Amino acid sequence: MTPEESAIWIRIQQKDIRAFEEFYRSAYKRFFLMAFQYLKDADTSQEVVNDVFMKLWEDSAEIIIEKSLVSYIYRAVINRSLNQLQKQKRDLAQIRSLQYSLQHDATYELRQMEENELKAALYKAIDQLPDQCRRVFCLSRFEQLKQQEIADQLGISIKTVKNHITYALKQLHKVTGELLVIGIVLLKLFFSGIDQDLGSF
Amino acid sequence: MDSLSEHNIPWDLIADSLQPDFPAEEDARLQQWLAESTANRETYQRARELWAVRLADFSAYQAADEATAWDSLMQQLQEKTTAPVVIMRSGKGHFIRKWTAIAAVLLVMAAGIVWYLLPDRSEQVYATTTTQREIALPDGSSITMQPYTEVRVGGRYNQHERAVQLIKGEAFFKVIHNANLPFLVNMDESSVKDIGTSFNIRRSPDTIKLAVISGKVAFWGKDNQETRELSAGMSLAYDVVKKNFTEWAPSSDQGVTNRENLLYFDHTVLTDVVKQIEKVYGKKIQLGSTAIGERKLKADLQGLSFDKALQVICTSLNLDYTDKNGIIILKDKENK
Repeated sequence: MTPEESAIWIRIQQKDIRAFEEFYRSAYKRFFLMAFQYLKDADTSQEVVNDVFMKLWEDSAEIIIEKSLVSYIYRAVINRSLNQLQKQKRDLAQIRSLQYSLQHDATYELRQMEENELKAALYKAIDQLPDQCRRVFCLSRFEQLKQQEIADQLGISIKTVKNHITYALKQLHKVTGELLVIGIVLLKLFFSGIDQDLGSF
Repeated sequence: MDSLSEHNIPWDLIADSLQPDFPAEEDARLQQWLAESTANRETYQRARELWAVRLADFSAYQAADEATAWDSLMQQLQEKTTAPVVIMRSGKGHFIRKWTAIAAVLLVMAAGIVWYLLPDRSEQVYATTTTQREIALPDGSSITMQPYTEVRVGGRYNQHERAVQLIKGEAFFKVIHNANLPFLVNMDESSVKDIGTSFNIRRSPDTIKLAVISGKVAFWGKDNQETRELSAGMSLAYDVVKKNFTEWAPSSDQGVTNRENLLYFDHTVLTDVVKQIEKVYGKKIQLGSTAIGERKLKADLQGLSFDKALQVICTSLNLDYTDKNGIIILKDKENK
């Protein structure tokens, strides 16, 4: 564990609810995103993340985390999401294949985490785009509005719409590039030895 | 991999190619650029992946709310710690277990029948008193409820329909558009169906006032069976007594913004912004000097937490804030 993770984990084990809350609030969205990737339902994803955190809180005295707290929680979220899918009896063949990958493919979990961290960074970058740029980008990508429709709706020229979309895309591409080149290498180092982090989840 | 400078990437062309109507002559230009190098093709592939796949969960991510989730976790933990513990003693254990099992089966059956007979299996009614509240819906849409508002969300929301009911008060709806499941706000006298994205409804016993912020909505009067389509920037009222639509402009009701009770500010003086923020969040704010009260804010604070809204105001107007016994004091950054 990193020194920061160690400090958090010790405080959680000491039943420091403030430390637990602080960690939960700062990390919630990334774990939610991982659960949502499997479940495609916001309520169930929240339930899964909360179940994992509840167990972490209740059983903190018995849980042994050797390498990384974050990777431990990621694994628990993935496992619980798959269990949830199984309960819902959704596409059982696909679930079995995912469970097989989780147990037998050493890189599967790491790849999932890498992709998730990348997505979280991208979404944060969208949030940080200038207001009008973000609005234009979201209308284009998520509302599927045509450039002319966006221009009409916001009372701006089509050229401005194009400029905003281009700028946003460029910024997001930069985030992807930076993470793929630098971040993922660090992530691999950070999560190395992840297999030893098997807990009671 | 071929070397590729960021400056040589035709981002405008790539952005256009991701749009539905990509002109043939631009496509020819793009193909030519792609044919030039592997690096170009990789860059393009990454941009396409980003657009089509990696951004797919953004709406859900945006709607995910750690504060609500934390409250729910706390509730779960409290329920668990206060739940009664049943200890089965040996000796009569088999007898007790048998009858407990039978009772459990009967209970589950009864619960199942009640569950089946209920009209809406897990509908939720949300109500606000003095402060604003935001509800995140499972599809990524959200409702910002103003004080003294009640909204009902059906248990089948996002399954076969996306219908909510505005029982009373005022709410701002930010809708993730889904052509297969239109978003519908029902009221006794009328309903509003989204064709686009965000709108505000204020319901009182005699009128229903609708202001469209972005996109398009259809406003349907149930009594007169009339439908009006409204686009961004348009507003309209429905007279519940006369049972007809009447012209209405939000700016005539309030001076703060042209959208009553909303946190959209278009060159609004800080004094007015503060009044609106105090009203919406139920907080007390003081200005460090009268001069800063004259500064004008252009910002969209709708849906933001109080802290985040303060940060936006401070960054936009070069201010700092301090919290003194629950009263927020805004001061010029240079005075610090």
